[in-house]
Order: sequence, then C-alpha cells, then structure tokens
Amino acid sequence: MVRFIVHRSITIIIALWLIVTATFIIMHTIPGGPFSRDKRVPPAVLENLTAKYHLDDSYARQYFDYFSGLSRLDFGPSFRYDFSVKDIIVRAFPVSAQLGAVSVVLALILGLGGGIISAYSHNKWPDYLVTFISSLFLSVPSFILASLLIFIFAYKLMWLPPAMWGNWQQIIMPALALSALPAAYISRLARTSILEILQREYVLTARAKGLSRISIFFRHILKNSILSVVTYLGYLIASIFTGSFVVENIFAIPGLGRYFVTSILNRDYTLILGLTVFYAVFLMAMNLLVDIFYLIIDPRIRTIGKE
Amino acid sequence: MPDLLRVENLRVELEVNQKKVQIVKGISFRIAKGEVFAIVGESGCGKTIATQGILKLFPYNIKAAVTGSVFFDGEDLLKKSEAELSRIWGSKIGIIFQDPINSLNPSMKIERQISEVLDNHKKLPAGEKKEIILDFLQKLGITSPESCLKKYPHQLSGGMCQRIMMAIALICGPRLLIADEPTTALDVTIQAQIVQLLQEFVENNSLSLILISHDLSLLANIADKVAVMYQGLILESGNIEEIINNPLHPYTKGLLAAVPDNWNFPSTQVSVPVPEGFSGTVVQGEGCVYLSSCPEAMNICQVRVPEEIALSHSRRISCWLTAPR
Repeated sequence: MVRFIVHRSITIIIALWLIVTATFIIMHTIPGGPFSRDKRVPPAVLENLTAKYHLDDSYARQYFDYFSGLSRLDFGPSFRYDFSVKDIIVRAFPVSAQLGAVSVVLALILGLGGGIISAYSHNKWPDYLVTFISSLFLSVPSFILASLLIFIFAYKLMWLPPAMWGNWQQIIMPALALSALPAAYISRLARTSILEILQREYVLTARAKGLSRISIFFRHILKNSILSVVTYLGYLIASIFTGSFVVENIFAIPGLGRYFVTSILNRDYTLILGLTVFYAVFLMAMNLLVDIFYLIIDPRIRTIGKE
Repeated sequence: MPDLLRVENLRVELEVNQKKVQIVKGISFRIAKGEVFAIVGESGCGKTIATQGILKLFPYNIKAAVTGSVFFDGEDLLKKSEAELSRIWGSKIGIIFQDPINSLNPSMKIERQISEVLDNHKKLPAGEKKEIILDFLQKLGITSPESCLKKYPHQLSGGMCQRIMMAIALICGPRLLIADEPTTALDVTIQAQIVQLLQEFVENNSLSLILISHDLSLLANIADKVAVMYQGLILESGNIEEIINNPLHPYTKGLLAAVPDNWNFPSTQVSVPVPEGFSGTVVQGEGCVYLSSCPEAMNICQVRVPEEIALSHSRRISCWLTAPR
C-alpha cells in the first residue's frame, strides 16, 4: 500500500511537470500579452510593467523562475487582480468546494437512487421513467436548467433567492443545476453495473441462503457494483469542486470557476498556470484516492498490487 | 420409507426474448429420506431449470412460471410465497452449484459468507458460531480452517471453494441437498474427493440428495436412483443398477454407450445422435421428443407422444418400444 502510494506520487510529480510545461508553451503561443488589451499607455509605463513582472526575461528564464516559485508554493502575483494567485485560490476555492460538495452529495443520492430503482424494475415503467429523466438531464445544458430554476423558484414561486452567496437557501438552486448531469450519469452507470451483478452466480448463492432482498442488496450487490461509480466520482469531485464558469456566473457566486475562463482572456499568465497546477494536483489526488478506494473494495486488486 | 420430496407434473416456462418457452414439460418423481436421486441428461435438457423450478429459485434475470406441485415434508413448495420459501432455502434445503469460484462473493471473506447463512436461520452466540464453523470445515477436509476463514474466494482453489459452498449449503443441517453438477468445474482427482464427501454427508446425516450430472460414471458410485432427462422430459427412471445394466430407452442406451470404457477410449461405439441444429429451445411437435435422433423410431413415434408407464415399483419409462400396444 505504502509502496503503491509513493510510486503513484512520483508519477504525479512527473505528470505535473509535463502539464506545467505544456501549459507554459501553449500560453505563450497565444497572441497578445497581459497588458495589450488595456488602453494605450505610454511606452515607458509599459516597459516598467513588463520589467516588474519579469516579462522581458527570456522564456527559459521565466520558465525556471516559475518552477522555483512553485517549489516554495509561490504561484506569483496575478497580472489583472490586486491579489496573488494564491490569495485568489484561497479565497474562491472554499466557495466552489462548498457548492461542489453539496452538488456531489445530491448527485450521488439522486443518481444511486435512480439507478437502483431502474435496475430493480428492469424494463418496467419505473425503469423507463428514470431512463427518460436521465436522458433529459444528460442533454439539457446547465445554463438552461439554471435559468429555468430561477424562473420557477425565484421569479414565479418566490421561494428561493435568485442569486448571490451566503446562506443555505442560496446553495439549493446552483447545487441542483450542477448536480443534474452527474446525477443522470451516475444513474446510468449504477443501473448498468447493478444489472450486471444481479446476474452473477453469487447472488443466486445469496438467495439460496434465504437472505432477504434488502440484505442481498447491501451485502452482495452494492459493494460489487459501486466500482464504476467510484471511478467517475474521482473526476466529478475534481471538476465540480474547482467551480463551474456557467453556473457561478448565473448565480453570481464568488467561486473559482469564472477565473478559469477570464484568466485566459486576460492573458493573466500566472493565474492560468496557478489554476492549471491546482486543478491538475486536485484531479490526480482524487484519482489516487479512487485507486486506494478500489483496493479497499475489491480484494482481488489488492493481490495483484502485491505481485 | 416415506417420501421426503414428491414432484408431480412439474412444468417450467421461461420467458426468452418476450416469447414463452416451456423448458420442463411435466416431470414427476419422488425421493425418500436418505436417498440419492440423480438426474442425467445433456446440456440444455432442462435439468438445472427443473431443480430451480422445484425451489422456485431462479436468477433475478430469469422470468419463470412454474406449475405442478412439489411436496416437501408434506407441504407444497410451489404454493409458498418468496418470504416463506426463503426460510426453507439454506436451512431445510441446501443448494450447491456448478461453478464454485463464481458462486462465492469475490469481495467478502469466507467466514462472513458461511456465518451469514447461520445468522439468517439460527441465532447463535458468536463464540459458539465460530466453533460450529471451524468444526464443520474440518469435517469437509479443510486442514487449516482458521486461516481459510480469513481468505477471499480468489485465494482458494476450485476444490476448496466447492467445500466452502458445501459448508454454506449444509451447515444449517438441511434434509435435502441439491447439487447441480458439483464436480464439473473441478479436476478429476478433486471430483472424486467431493463425491466422497457428499456420500459421507448423505450416510451420516440421513440427507437426501438430488445430484445433477451428465457424467454417468460418476453417478454409478453414489446414486440410488437415476432419471434420464431429454428436452424437458424424463424418458426413463429407475434404480441405478437397473438403468446401467438394462437400459430400455434408446436414448439411455446411447448415453451409456458414450461412456468410455476404462483406459480403453476412444471407444469405437460412441454414437449418441443429437438432433441437427439443436439450439436448446425446441418446438413441441406431435410425436416423441427423441424422434429425430432415435435409431429405433417407428411409425407410431411420429404421431403420438409415448405416455409414461411404470414397469415396476421404481422403474418408469416413456417409449413406444416398451409400451404395451
């Protein structure tokens, strides 16, 4: 187990280096720079700015400077905002993460519930209903769903605040909008794998023991069919916790999501790199967690790991 | 001796691709206490479905309709609800399957898989339970039961897994054990051990056993009675010695001819004709089910299904060759 984690951590560091390098190259090949969109400034000022941010250094120099900063967990200053990149992440990530956590829990409850109902009523009307709803949520974009939610619950019924951030009522609508698609996806995954496990011979053995349907589900089916959902969950948590540009914009939530898009528009080099590094580390950590979870769930993988 | 199990006119209909197909077409037999009853027949003849029909225990993905009656201990099992049946499954009737490795949950330790059935039917204190399990595994010839209990199925051999399956099926002290091809997936040497264990349990516990197999040489040593099944019907049944020494039905003769002589195979006389294009689902025609493959078919076989007649107390056959005309 320890060897496995150490081994994986080394891979993560190598992957991170490749990601930063690729991002660095791509970032600098986009035409324009951080200050080219501003209104014309005297050449002297521009010169001072580029000097302040070391943009007049060679690319190689900037590249190595960035890594030396990274090793001290210094992501550098933002070119656009008055904060450092670290400040932005520290301030905005908890908001996105909070919203993300609620959304993931919601997606899991709805998705697993739907998948279980679907699998157990295979090819009967509840199955068709769940399949229909999940196809709908898979195809409706979140901005349409978000607008619809605002229209119904905030404008017509006036039950919920339409936007902003701060109390629990303000979490409900964005969380619903964010969790619809993953919930639909999880229900499809769960349906397929539960149906597959239901046909396994050990489920027949469990019935031959005289166990009730509920204990057969919890003891023999759930654990063996959850792997596909866990795999997806790693990616889902990483992407949803780091914020959504669309949903956060619609609900005016001060999360991390909008920075992903605006940093590129602004050519905010340090912020682009900082967010990329943050997202990459988060995603790889989640995948590592998923792999560790595999080992816990399926003893057969444990044996392979030892060999 | 009173019958433990009496099956009368059992029919099982499965839904395959939205079409109803009768897999078991009306079979009857009785099993006495302590008796070993074997069902033989080729793959697809309906022997597994027949035993699943007796218990009304089918995999979740199979839709089946069972008619007829199955008297176990004087009660008709087919009239019972699933909840009532689940009190019998695992406690009064044990079942073991063909593929022992896949019949055990891959992500659960052996101990839990065995204790689960005890917990379900008997409330025992933890210490006593463990003792019973360890004792039982020793009886099944498992040399280090303690360490075996801590393992997962994939860490055990096929023979070990089948012993564990036997423990699960037998630990509550059932009166009937149904073993569906229990040795097919195992090595020949292990097969003999498992058969011997089954035999010991039958003798020591006055257990009745339904043994499904396609291996006649295996049955000869252990079975008391045998029924030969073909396309959902029992063509011939009787005491094992009678059937082996004096087969009357052409299909039984064919099956016996297909068993290779000891060390002398390939036998030159192997000829068990199997209908061409046989797919397991059969259209019921007017005549005998074995008609198309029967080397001794007569005119009457094409028009009428032979009725089952009793030749003696134990011997029954459905064939126009032996029927009085």
